[in-house]
Formats: sequence, C-alpha cells, structure tokens
Amino acid sequence: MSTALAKKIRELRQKRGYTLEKLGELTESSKSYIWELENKSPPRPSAEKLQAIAKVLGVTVDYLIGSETPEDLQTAEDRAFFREYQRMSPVLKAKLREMRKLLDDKA
Amino acid sequence: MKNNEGWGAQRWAIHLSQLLNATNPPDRYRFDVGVLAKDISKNFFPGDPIMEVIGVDLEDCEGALQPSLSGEKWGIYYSTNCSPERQRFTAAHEFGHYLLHRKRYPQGFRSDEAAVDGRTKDDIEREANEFAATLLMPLDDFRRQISAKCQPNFDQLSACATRYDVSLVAVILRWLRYTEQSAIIVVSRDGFMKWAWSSEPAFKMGRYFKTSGSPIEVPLLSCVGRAKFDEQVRAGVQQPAGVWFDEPVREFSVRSERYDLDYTLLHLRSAAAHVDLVEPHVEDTYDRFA
Repeated sequence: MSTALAKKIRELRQKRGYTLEKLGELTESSKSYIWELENKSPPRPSAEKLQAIAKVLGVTVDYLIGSETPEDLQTAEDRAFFREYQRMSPVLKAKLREMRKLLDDKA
Repeated sequence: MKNNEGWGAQRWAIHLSQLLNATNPPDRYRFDVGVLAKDISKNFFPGDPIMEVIGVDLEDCEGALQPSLSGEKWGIYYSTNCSPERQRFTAAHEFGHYLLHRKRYPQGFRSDEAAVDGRTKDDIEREANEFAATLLMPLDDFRRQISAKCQPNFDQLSACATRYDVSLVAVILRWLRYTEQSAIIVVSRDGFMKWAWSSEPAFKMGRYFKTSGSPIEVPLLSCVGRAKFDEQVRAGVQQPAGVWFDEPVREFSVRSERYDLDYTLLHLRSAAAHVDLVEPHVEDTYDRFA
C-alpha cells in the first residue's frame, strides 16, 4: 500500500545510497518517520518538510507530489464506486469504466 | 438446483470443493479459478453470470469485481503486478465477492493487498478471503499436509504452496488461522514491520505486533534485524529470551528480492506450556491487524 510519493522517496533515497537514518538526519526527521513516509500512508508532510526532503534528494517538491490527486477532487461517484480504494489514477478509472461497457457485448 | 440464498463463505467453498472432488481432475488442487468461476456462475446464476476473468494492470489495487453497465454480466480482474499464484488467489477472492456480496454491493468491489489477505477489519473482505482460502486450500487436505500441532518450517510450507498453487504467505496465513501452536509471521522492509499476524494461541498470550500504529522496528539482535539470511536462518535459529520476547523463540527468516520484503516466521513455546499463566483474553481480535 504505497503511494506514488512513497515510492519516489524510497527510490531516490536508495539511488543516492542513503540509509533511513541518513535521510532522517539530513531532513531533521526520525528514521521511523522516513520509513512511514515510504511504506505507510501518513498525512502528507508539511510543506517545509517536503521541501527539505526534495532538496536533499535533488528534486523539486512538484516532482515528489506530482501525480497525487487531492481528496476533494474526487467525485462522489468514485468515492462510492471504489469504496476503500480511491487512489487509482484517472486513466485506470476510465479504463475500468470502458471495460464495463464492453462487458455487456460479451456472449 | 439448490436454494443457495444466504450461503456463507464456508458453505460455498465446501460445496465447490465437493464438486471438484467429484470430478477429480488430474491436478485436483491446481485448478483454473477463472474456468470454475465462469462455469459455476453460468449454472447457478444464469441471470447475471461471470463472463470474463482476466489480468490487467490495476496499479496499486490487487483485484476487482465489476458489473457490466446493464448489471447483467460480471467481470473479475486481477492485478498482473504480482506472482501468478497471488493472481490466482485474488481471482478466487473476487469470485467470493461475487457469490457472497454482489446483491448487497451491485457496484462491485476493489480490493487491495491487505483485503485479499483478509488482514482487515472489513468483514466483507474477510469473508471473501475465507472463501478463497477454503476453496484453494481445503482444510481436510491441508491438515494432512501440516497438522494443527506441528511447527512447520519454510520447506514444508513451500511444499504446500506448490501443492495448492498459492503464495507462501497465503499458506502461512491459512496455517496460522487453525494451528494450536503459538506462531507469528512478520513481514518487514528496511528493518521495520509492514505487517504481522499471530495465531490465536499466540495472540491470547499477548504475543502480537500492532503494526497499524507507529512503525515497529524488528529486534536489532534478530536475524532479520541483522539482515542475516542464509540457509541456516531459513531452516530456523533458536533465539534466546530477550531477542523477540521474554522467552526463547525459534526464528525462520528469508528475504524476497522479488518483492523487496523480508519474511519471518516465529515459533513460540507450545500453547500448553503457557496455560497456567494466562488470563482469558478479552481484547478485540482486530488488534492483531496491520
């Protein structure tokens, strides 16, 4: 259950050869907080924290949070339809809706 | 045709197992879930059968059951981002949703990894998991492979995974749900636990990790904590009291490069040895969850 943000942070950290401790140290966070960012879905870090992480990893904040869709942009239909699972990209949601149409023609 | 309204997960899984036993195909336990789902739904529910069971890229999602626009046909979709064994289990999980829940949830389902494993508070997901586990690993046969009293190692568990064409994790969770032994599986990455699951006897002893809260580190002195993964650790290492708990534990750890995860199986003292020490547990079983 990791989000795009989580994956990016972990990949960039590993690419730079930083341990959890090291990235924590450089961004004034605890080791377990970095792990949480990479593996769970904690509330999005503060702008300040994100900036610190982006800087240390050598990317922009926009790159880190790029494809994340804010909660309030999701339609009511999606909320009902996806129940627990709301993190799908718009592309996949559209694909699944298209498949529902095609399914009716299956004999 | 039987009246199957209100059949639960066990009832459906056992009924289908009996049908499979009766036809007794050569590879009895490695049957094609998609073919079974389509055949059964066509026979039992010709008004809204399953028309396709296929793999698609579902991003972070493991599986989906969704109706056609008219609602008269259904499709099962499983993520292709995981092993074939896991895909097969996911298909069975979604088949469970179809049999048990589609009337109540006509919009269908999306299931994530914890849901497919049954490691969730959601009764609906746990029922679908129970159906899948019972269908793919029938208890009568499973017990003959690994008894409720035995303390299996990874080799025995892997043999079962092959027999039932499911993942190692699916086998371990199946065994943990009926064993009389105190045992725990811990799945970790970079030294912290992703999730853990205890058998009932271990849970009653308070031997569980609550991984839904703040991250829990694996013990630094454990094999997994020292990133020590060799044949000996895979076969089981005796850890003294103080490493995992205040009692000795047998630790089995392996690393999966493919999933970038570490799997640890812990065997504690037998439940019987604890009996005099324990109060009956009143805690909610959900505390065990990831």
